[in-house]
Amino acid sequence: MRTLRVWLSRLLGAFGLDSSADESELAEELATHLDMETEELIRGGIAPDEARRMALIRAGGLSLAQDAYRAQRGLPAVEQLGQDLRFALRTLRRAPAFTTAVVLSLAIGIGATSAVFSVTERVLLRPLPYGEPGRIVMLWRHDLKTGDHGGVVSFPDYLDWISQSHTIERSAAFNGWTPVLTGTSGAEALAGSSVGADFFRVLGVAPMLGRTFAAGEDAPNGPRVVVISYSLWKRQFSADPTIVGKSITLNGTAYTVIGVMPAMFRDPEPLMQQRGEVWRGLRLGPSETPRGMHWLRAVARLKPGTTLEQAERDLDLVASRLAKAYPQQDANAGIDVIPMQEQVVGKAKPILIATLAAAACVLLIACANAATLMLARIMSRASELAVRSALGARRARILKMLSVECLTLAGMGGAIGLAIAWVTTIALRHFAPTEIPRANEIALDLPIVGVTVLITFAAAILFGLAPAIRSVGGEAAETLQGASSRHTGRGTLRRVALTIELALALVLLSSAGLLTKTLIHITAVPLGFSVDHVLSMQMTLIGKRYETPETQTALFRTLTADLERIPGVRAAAMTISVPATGLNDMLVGTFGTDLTGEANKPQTGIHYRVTSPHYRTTMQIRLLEGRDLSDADLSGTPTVALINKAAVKTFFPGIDPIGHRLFLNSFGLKSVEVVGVLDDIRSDGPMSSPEPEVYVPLAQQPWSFGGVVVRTQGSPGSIIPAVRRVVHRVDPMLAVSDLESMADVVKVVSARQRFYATLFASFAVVALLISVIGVYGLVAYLVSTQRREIAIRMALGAHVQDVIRGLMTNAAMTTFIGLVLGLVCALATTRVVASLLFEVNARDPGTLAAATAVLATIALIAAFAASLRATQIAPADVLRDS
Amino acid sequence: MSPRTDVPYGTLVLMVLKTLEGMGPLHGYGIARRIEEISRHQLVLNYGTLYPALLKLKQQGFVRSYWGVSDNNRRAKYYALTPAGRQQLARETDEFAAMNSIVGLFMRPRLEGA
Repeated sequence: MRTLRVWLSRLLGAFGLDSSADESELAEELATHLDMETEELIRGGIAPDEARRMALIRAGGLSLAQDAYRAQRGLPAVEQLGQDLRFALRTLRRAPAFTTAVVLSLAIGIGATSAVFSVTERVLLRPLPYGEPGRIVMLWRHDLKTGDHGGVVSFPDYLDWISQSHTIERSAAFNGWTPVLTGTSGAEALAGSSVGADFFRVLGVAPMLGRTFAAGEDAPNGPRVVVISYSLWKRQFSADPTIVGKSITLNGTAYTVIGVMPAMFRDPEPLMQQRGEVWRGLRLGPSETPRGMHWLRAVARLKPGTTLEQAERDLDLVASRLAKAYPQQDANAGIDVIPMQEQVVGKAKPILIATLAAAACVLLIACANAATLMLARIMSRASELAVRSALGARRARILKMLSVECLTLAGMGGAIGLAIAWVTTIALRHFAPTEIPRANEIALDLPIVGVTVLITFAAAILFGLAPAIRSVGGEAAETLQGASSRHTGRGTLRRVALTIELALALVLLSSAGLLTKTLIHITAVPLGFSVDHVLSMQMTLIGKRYETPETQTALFRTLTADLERIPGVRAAAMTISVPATGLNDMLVGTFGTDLTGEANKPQTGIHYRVTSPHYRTTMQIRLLEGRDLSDADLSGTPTVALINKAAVKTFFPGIDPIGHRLFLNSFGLKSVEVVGVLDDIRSDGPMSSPEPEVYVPLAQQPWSFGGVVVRTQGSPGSIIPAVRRVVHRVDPMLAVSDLESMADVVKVVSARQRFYATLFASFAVVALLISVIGVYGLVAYLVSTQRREIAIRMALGAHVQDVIRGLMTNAAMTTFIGLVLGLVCALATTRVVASLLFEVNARDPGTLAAATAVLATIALIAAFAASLRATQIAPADVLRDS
Repeated sequence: MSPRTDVPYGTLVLMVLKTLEGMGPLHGYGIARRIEEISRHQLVLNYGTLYPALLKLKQQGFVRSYWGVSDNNRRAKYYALTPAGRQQLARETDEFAAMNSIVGLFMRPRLEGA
């Protein structure tokens, strides 16, 4: 208790806030004491001068007394710290170039690391924002014949999975739903899902308003009710607090809003890379869709205490039972159980960790650089430090002073770094929603700030300690006598730092190179369809007007015809699934061909594309044989179709398919005559392989939703206003969405690669810059510390070229070691970006060689530039000075 | 024995408090003189020992200080015991006595079997 009181007083004393303890009072007290002592002695008979002298001796060092008093009054350690801090700031201000260089490089390193760490922590480490997220899993169909995982499932199969399993507590099937919301403000196409009644309970998230689906509300004849998202509620309904119970119009039908989800809620597995904003009941009965038609996703909550292995074994049993019961459909089907955490972030995990490592590399490089800068500075302050030492400063005191300077630099770097990190996390949250899962949860919070502080301290130790310790090891006297030029001019510490910098820079450069090469490959892949001069859009026909197949077909016919009349438009067509969007990709089973005879069980699936006649010409897909679909193919005429090369290989291997028939398990057409063969296209983007496809005419297979593509003469963007006008003229209530050029659509597929390529390239450039500055610094240092030797050599007849060659060789050795080290590290570590690479080996020799060459060249150029300083040495002057 | 100038802090506290108890409020010079006298000039306190110690006693709350006028009309800072100081003195006195007797046991010559 007393101790606390003492410390409190001392704390106040340190700031001069304690009453009646200030030093002028002490001075008066001491003076009084001295006088009294002197008077006493005089009274004892001693002469005044002698008395005073004796009193002074007895007093024992007045200034020492004042120091001791001052020490007791305040907190000497704190005051010392304050002193050091003020001094540090003063000296740093007098060396702006040095301070800026160190603070800036530290800020970039700390900022990058902090930002990436924040992202990694939130995305990878934090549990998903669902109730007991560890128990949530996704169920996928595993095709044992093709080896495909992540397959969607049919409704009857799904029902059996659930009813026959022992480990599932509750579950819900779901699929995408893109209704058009019509209201007073026009029409808007929404992204949403049709879900089983337990969907929100499986996820364990309660609604913000109202309720979610009750049991039975997903039945075929259930009430038309929907749950809406927070964003939709705010945007379209102005956050109306009485929205629950109100009716809204989706796809022309009235739905009652029964609940609103909270703002943070996201659909578990983002469909179509969009956020779902509306959920309705699945409205499926068990007998409504065939067992062989797979189109649903399934999410489930395991019973408490169930491990993943137990669930997997349980569902393996279910799968084998179904295989026996329904050999036609399920003979080769397994069930995958994927924990939700892995589902959402699994793909991103390795690359996020790689990014964290890259950021750490940048930080290390920044610290290494700061270390060499610190060292140089300390060397140049050798005389100042020597003076301090001669005046009585202990080694520890000098070390403490240097440490404060270090920490000040690190502190400034850390503060700026934190600002950089904050801005970066905000930017990432807004601009990288598709590249990084759970991007909406990224934020800079207190624990991350704490980690940043720790990183800052670690950085300070890294870059400050070694130079400081090294520098204080010298002898003060020797330095004072001007022997400062006699440092060991080999700069070992600098070399070590530089080697590390170069190695890390090479690793980063290699990774960036690999990702760039991937991008180049991706863009070079022939897609089979035209990407330039094509505009794409999505639409859904809703309402009473389009209830019959005839009206749907008529609308698209009118629309495409009107679109083709726009000046600058070459062709327009409707297609159920626009390539590279991943939308409405339907896989239907086949029942064989006329050659094999109609099978009674579904065989290999084929992608089912419903298109209007001008589709092929709009997308410029090559016709290999036979004829294109035309306006003559109508609902009364023989059912025809085009198939692609891959389909020929699968269903008509080795023969000409023209004229033969293919039997399909589709909604409409059961049997089509092949009239033409199209070239393969990569429907899922540059990184996918072509799959068997069948193209059927819209007129024969009416459809009410999908995409419209338009071929333009000029840029696709230029006709957007005209397109909107035409659509509006045809039907003002038609909602057209996702109006973008085909080029943009395809770019989205490789968005991840592009994002990380940019990121790594930025890191690499920073690393390159810093390392190259390091090389320059090393050679400049060598020149300055070896001035005498160089001057002597030149005086003895050596040419400047020899000197330069000598310096370059010196630098080249360090560079070489750094690059070798870097190559070894690169070979070991570039594997981590492998998940992003496309047709590029993680150890691609070409890329590694190129990165090495670039780094080596730039380093040597820097070394050369620095060694030119040797030419400024005038031997006579140097020798005269020393 | 030549005068000692190094005094363990704890002992100094005891002496200062005891002095203030016995003499009432005193200024710094008075305290120093008194301690020197009582120790029969075997203790010489220098300012660097005395004044920081007085400050610490003030920080601990055992003494309080005020400016007053001395016998010969000089302005001087006086130190006085606080109630807490009195309690501390009593504690320290007991502590000292206890320690003294324990150590004394070690110092007594052995009675049997010298």
